[in-house]
Amino acid sequence: MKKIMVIALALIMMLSCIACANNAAGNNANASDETPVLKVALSPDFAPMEFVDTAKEGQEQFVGFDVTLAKHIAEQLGMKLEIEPMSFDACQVAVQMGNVDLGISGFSWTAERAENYLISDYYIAGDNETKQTIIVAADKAGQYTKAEDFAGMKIGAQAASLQELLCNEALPEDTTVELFKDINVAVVALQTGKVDGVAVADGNAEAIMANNQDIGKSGFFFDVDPKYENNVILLNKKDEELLKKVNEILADCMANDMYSGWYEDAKKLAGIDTAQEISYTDDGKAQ
Amino acid sequence: MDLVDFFEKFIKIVTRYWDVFLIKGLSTTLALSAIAVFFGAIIGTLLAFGKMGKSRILRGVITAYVEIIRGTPSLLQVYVGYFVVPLLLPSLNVSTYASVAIALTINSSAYVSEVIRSGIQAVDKGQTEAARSLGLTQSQAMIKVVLPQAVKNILPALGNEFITIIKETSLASTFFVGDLMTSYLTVNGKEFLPLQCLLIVGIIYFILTFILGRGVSALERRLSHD
Repeated sequence: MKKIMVIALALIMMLSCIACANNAAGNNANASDETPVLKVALSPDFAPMEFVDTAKEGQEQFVGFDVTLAKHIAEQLGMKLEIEPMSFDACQVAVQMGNVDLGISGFSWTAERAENYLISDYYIAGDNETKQTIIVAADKAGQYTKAEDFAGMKIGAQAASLQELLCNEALPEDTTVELFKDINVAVVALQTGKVDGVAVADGNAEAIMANNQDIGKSGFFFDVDPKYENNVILLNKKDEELLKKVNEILADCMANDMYSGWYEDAKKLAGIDTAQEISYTDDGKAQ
Repeated sequence: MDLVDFFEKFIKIVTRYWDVFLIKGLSTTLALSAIAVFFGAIIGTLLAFGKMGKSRILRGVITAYVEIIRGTPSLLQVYVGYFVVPLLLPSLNVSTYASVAIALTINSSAYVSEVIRSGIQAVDKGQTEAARSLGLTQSQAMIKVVLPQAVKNILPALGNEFITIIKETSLASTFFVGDLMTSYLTVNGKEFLPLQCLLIVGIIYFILTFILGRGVSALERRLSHD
């Protein structure tokens, strides 16, 4: 009896030590560095915009378009970047509560966000936001060309996303819009027939299709109002000063045409091109 | 859905990312649960004794604490832990990991305090009375007579709490602290194969809780023989 207790206790202590050691390492790195820290919230489950390179550890593991942008902004501000990963909806809470300085997670402009946050000027992540589509089962791919074709169907979208807004605006009245906390759950719902389609950004659609041959593009594209086309950075209502600086940096990036290169790099890192090649050799089907 | 295709991709994910799930994810999940249950047990014990104590105010405060924690969703507590703890203690520079661990510890302390209190109160009152009549003081009676019997009730229930907490730690993935559910989010965020990733995570959770569950029942049998 005592032996069991001793072993259990020892195990608990060991595990806590490992955890604390991991933690302490992170904290020391912060303490020893005098440069001010720029905290950025993002949701790294969304290739190619932001995702995790599982071969790496700590801050290094976060990659993707928005991460490159965040690094660039921190560098220009002379600050040290610290990425705080969290779910998409938590990112917005973190900005509002002031836990982080910036929210850079593929946010689109919406009237509600403009009310509650300071919103930066636009930045352009390739065609990720300009083209918004609906993905469907592969055997129905290309069969839909206009919004009316989705009448009576169930279409999934991520809650609090641009896609939800587009679905509500553009799709016919008798289309049911089913909301999901996480776009990936919506994809499973599509694969298991719980919904007939899922509204996603085009770049995201390609990443999903690269590994899921049973999913295809419907052939329909949303008519996206220019104000939704690009991504924005969210800031706390109080951070007027930071907003000015961020906008200057964004204007500079735009002028020097830095975005398209970053987007291509991010796509390559996400393996979107290579994955498509594999799918050709596997079943010979063109995507 | 094509089953052969499904498992081919399942194998692909396993071979490519097994270390993300098995080493990083599993160890973080185990460490987080161990911290939450260990410190939860310490705080929970104090709470349990406070609740059985004489001070009315203390009893009221502890009852409120336990009821609030047990009456709100754990996910909400993790949110509060992450967003509010750093605001209350700005000078400490609390890491994400620590704030999530604190939230889980607070959660587990409320449940553990009830486990311990009911474990102690389940020991027949006659035991205390007999010990007292033999000349032991109140605290001697508690330590030498009641507690050794209460441990038999408490330990298996504490084991079950550990199993529950293992599943609760999945909520920590909201802030990507690196537990098993975070492994699912990060691998899936790149590969977009949610079902396969969830299946892997599910298998690991099940094996883990199953083994621990067997351990708890073995412990229960041992204790009933003593």
